[in-house]
Amino acid sequence: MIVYAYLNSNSTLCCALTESAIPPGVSYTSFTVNSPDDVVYVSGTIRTKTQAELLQEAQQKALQQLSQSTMSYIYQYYPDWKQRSDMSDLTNGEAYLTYAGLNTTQVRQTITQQILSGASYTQALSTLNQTFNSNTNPTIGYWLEQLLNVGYRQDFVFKVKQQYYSISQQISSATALPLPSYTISVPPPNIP
Amino acid sequence: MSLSYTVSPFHPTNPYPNQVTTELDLANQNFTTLAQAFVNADPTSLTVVNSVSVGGYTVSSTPQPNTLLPLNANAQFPYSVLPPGIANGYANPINLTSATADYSLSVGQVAYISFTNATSVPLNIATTNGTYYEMNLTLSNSFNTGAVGAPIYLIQNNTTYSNAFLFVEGYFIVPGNTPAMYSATYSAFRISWAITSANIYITNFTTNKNIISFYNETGYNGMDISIASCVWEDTTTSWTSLGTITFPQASSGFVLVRRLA
Repeated sequence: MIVYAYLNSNSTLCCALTESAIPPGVSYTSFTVNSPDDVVYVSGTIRTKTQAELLQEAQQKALQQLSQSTMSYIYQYYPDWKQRSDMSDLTNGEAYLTYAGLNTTQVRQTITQQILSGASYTQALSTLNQTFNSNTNPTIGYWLEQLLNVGYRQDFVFKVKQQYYSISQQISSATALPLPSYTISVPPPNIP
Repeated sequence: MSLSYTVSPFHPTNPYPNQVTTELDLANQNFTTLAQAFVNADPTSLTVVNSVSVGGYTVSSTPQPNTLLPLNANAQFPYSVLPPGIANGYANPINLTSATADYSLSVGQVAYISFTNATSVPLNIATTNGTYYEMNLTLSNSFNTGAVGAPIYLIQNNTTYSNAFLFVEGYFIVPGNTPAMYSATYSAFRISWAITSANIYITNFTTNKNIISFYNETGYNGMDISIASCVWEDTTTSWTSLGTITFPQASSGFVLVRRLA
């Protein structure tokens, strides 16, 4: 688009979208730009933004948008109320398991090992029960299952954050426009 | 036709020469004159000529000065006979879609502007100090995904003024059920974001130029609802043209602008 840039009586940079919008008698300069925002007044000169300035601005916007998209993605599959509920389950579950004589550090280790090894949810739950609930106590079984659920959901958040970090690095290190496109592709936690 | 009427043409007690012929002629002339009082000079029409006027005003199905107009088939008067401020309300907006020059709305008038795959939509509406408007902006773009997340602007006077606009919004976004506040400085009125349906109230006093808006923001995996205000931090520049709406992506839809004061 063509914009007609000038300084008004307040020394504010103005960009008219049409010639007819320019006040009479004003001295102006025309630029072909993508947006009026691409024209700046720096050190007494009206000019278009440099490629470096455009790149830096686009990077800032892209990082803000990535942050927003990442947050939305996490909340889509792991809503705020569920996160708060999980924190409560974690505290209560570990308190009960400790009361029942289990070593919660070992429980955490086993859950982490199962998730990181890529075990299916069913397999991981079976392993947990075989290891810590050989007497099939229903309350212990319930809390082991809840802690495993929390583990899978937190792993989902961890993986999304990893992907966020990787994408943000790509955006920040870009040396020219257009910036790389991206899709957050971490599968949601597969919990029955 | 010359009409005449003789009161009591028959004089049976006062004989005179050719009386029968004379008085019957007078009686016939009376009948002719009386017949002229009916539509088509036909008493069987049962419609008296002067009965189609009231107080001297005649009736016409086509609007004309100093005539009576019947209601139409919907028992309503046509828009064309209503005063402009009423006629050009929401039911019958002024279409400025193809306007090439600014139009000055009267109080109560509504302008309608439609657009297809546009990133820039000139409103072509003149404005002056002391006026107030309501604007409705609605888009047909897909609300779901893929939108460019950037502001929708109203570029007042078809001109941006660098960093002269203070914007504040409160919004509630899903997913996440997150309330938040945001503020920024822009070079034009920010009226919404991405894909939207927006209601915007526009105040134009040279000393206090601002908009208040509420709108949704869609076009990504979620949406939010926002209440916002944007103030032009300049108390001397006249706002003479409502300006141009710009979109961050090709957009389709329509705008209604109603002048309230």
